[in-house]
Amino acid sequence: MLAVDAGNALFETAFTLNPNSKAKAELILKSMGELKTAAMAAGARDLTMGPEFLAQTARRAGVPVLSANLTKEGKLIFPASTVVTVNGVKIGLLGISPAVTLERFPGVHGEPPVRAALEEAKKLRGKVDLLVALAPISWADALQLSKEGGTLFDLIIQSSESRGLGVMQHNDRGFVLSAGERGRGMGAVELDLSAPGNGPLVDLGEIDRAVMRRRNLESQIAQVQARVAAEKDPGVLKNLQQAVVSFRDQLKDLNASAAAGQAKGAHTAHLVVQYLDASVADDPEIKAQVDSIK
Amino acid sequence: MNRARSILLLLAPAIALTTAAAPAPKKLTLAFSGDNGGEIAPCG
Repeated sequence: MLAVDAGNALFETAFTLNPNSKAKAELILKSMGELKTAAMAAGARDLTMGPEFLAQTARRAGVPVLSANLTKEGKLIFPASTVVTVNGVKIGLLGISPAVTLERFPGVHGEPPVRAALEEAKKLRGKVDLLVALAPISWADALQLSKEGGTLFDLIIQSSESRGLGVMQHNDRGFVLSAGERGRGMGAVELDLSAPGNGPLVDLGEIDRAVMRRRNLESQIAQVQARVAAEKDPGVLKNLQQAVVSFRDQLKDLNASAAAGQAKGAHTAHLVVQYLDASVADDPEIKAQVDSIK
Repeated sequence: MNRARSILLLLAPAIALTTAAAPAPKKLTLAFSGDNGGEIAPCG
């Protein structure tokens, strides 16, 4: 198990006067440290109290912060990336920040994130089995990163704009996925890289959906064919026959698609979502700390 | 030496080689969170 945070974790807004905000941010980082979070990206709403606060509090909590493009007077504030090994899999984690100028913190800038991420990814790609970008940037920017990155990234985990969990959008090699919003859930990608080689990931969810769609089409074809056999009206009969042709064409396209037969011997990914609703019990110790802040 | 035992002895090196050569499955779960926005509890 490897835990990461894609950023925008600590504050509700990029500026706050709420006296509880600092204590909340400290508790969040402390909890992330206890979860052995391998890295987090520095999002705009992690920098509300400045990069110094983030750096010091994260260091105390034992949470590595990454950003390939957040600079102070032209120098990177945080490391751009880190490499961790889990079960023999070398994983490159790369963090970026949005393109921002933090006026309250002179000299601090978020340089263009896509360019910085691509430069760092090119350095890492040949050294790791899996390359993951932690991206607290807009979905549009994440898609641009995916497009310009081509085959560089396996996973781009996007984290802003309150996008829900549950979608993995396919790119050339890997996937862009949103990290969730307001702590309502956690995502997990179950990865199997046991097959030889360094091929692209195949989404097992996509294969499951293709199997289900094939079954539906086969069932629809059988139903319409039964109606064709019994139908006497030439006009209706013609429509039904056209429907069968359409369903068969869809089935043919589906069978020809790569997703249908790629799981065996491929590197696979399967997205699992756990919503943190009433079915998940509170941790008494953390709840007491939360209650003391609220 | 009975027949079963002699077959096992013959196969032992091959079995040992196979066991040693079998690569460990490279599996992992990447758990992720994001865009938490300072939330520490429902509605806050």
